[in-house]
Amino acid sequence: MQRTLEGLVLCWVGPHRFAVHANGVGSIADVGAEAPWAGRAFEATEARPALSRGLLLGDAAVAVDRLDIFTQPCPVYATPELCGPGAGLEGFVLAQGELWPLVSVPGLFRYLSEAR
Amino acid sequence: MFSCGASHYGLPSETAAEVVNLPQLTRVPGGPAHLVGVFAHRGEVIPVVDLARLIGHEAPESFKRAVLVRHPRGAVALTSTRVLGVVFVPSALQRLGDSGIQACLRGPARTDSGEVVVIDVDALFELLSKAA
Repeated sequence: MQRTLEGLVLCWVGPHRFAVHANGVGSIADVGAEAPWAGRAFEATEARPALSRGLLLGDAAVAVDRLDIFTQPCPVYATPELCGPGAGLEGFVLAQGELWPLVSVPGLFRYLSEAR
Repeated sequence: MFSCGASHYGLPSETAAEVVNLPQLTRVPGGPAHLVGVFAHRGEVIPVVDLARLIGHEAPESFKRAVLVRHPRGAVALTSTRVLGVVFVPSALQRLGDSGIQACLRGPARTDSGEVVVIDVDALFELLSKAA
């Protein structure tokens, strides 16, 4: 039986698109340079503070260009062996008619920090 | 038999499941360079591998189709600029090399459509798994 997930945060970061399960997001906030965690968010991306929002979980914070909350149930697909672990991939989800890589906030933080 | 860029490739017919028109691909963050993306197809996620990039040739500017290859370890779509049809080649072809992608290619064999290099699908999956 196909596994499904409800409650996704769909994120755009530069050329990338990611889906994060809402249960794995501590909070979402506007990113301003004055926020105490902004340094961590900007460390992972080159996002412009005026246009960004941030996803936070524990010590990980990621600034994204744009995000959408998607509440409908989405089918989850396993990561094919040939894709490798990539950015801590937890599979793929089909949402808004498109396939999204499913990642965690810490996984996304690590990947974006290393990719810079 | 299909082409990718200037080269012709062949697959054992039992492994070539179908030719698919590629939809918009989803990039795989942190994936290897030859993995150009994935797409959903009949309830599974199919990785798309650019054969030209894997071999080190200049990648075609665009590709809209791919040959879907089935293997016990999964499925992979190999980008194609043109599908040339079915040809018969000798079964005993030499490997092009001992390591890397060259160890996954056999031939070349002469056909009416030109020379073709045959892909050893077992070896290709082994190589792609290690590179992932």
